[in-house]
Amino acid sequence: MKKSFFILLLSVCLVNLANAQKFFTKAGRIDFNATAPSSPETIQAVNRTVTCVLDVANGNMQFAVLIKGFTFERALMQEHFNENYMESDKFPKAEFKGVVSNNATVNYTKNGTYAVTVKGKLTIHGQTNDVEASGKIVVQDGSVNATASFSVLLTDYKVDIPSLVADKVNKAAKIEVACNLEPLKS
Amino acid sequence: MKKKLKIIVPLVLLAAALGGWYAYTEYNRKPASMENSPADFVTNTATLLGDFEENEAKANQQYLNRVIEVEGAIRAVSKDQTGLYTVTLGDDGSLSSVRCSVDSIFSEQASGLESGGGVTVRGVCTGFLADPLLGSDVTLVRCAIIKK
Repeated sequence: MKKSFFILLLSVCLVNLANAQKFFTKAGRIDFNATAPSSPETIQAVNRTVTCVLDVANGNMQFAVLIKGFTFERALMQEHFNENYMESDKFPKAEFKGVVSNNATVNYTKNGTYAVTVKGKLTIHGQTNDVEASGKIVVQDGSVNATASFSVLLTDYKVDIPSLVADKVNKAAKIEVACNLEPLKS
Repeated sequence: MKKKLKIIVPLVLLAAALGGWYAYTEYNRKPASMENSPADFVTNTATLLGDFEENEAKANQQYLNRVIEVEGAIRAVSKDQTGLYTVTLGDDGSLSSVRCSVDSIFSEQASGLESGGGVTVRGVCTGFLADPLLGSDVTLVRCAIIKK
């Protein structure tokens, strides 16, 4: 009986220790911009319901985002984005699973700004590709602010742009990620 | 012939003007405010979460992109760095919640909400995210605070 209790206590302590190394948010922000240089209108959207988990022990990082959560200034653009391009009924989520490749250079216990590189696999529109992004991690009084910026080629994710609007939509969409992560408490 | 033209030309011009007006308003149409949008579903936190946890694909078909009016207990109210609010509905002991991203025009009402109280929120359902570590969430966006 005593042995079982000790094992249970040890398990709880280990889970707590593991969770203390993880930071998360469910209110991260992704800005998307696919405006072609010659386009008279701006094609941009924002999603502020991004889920992100960072394991500071090994740098493992994971994002999940609901495509219908991207809001545009114009309703028509938002409808085209969901129905014609991203097919969000069929592919409701996008995901990233990767790692901060220079995680060892970040001191998560000391306030500071650290330049990082994130590598991993990004799944959009049912297609998965390797991506690499440069970013920044700001450690401030126990919270971690992570930002990154990168571009994705729409053709890599089989997002077809009709020739009628091809001069307005950039072939490469710019993605900016910003997450204010808090320690995960068990 | 002249008589016919006198009728046809104004009609064509009128049709062109109406078409142009429709195209202009449709192009500039903003996403509808949830304050006056009729709800497709009126429900509560437990039912909405239960539907997604039981069968996500079926719930997606039912709720995605629909206007949902949901009533529930407030677990948390948070403000991001840009001053926008998220109201989280759910029981304290559960890992599941309904996360309501509040429309900026309702920031003042959201700022007056407190954990433990009850609220009715109306917003557009964008889906369900489940994580073994973080729990599962149904997300509503562009939310209006309907009843405190």
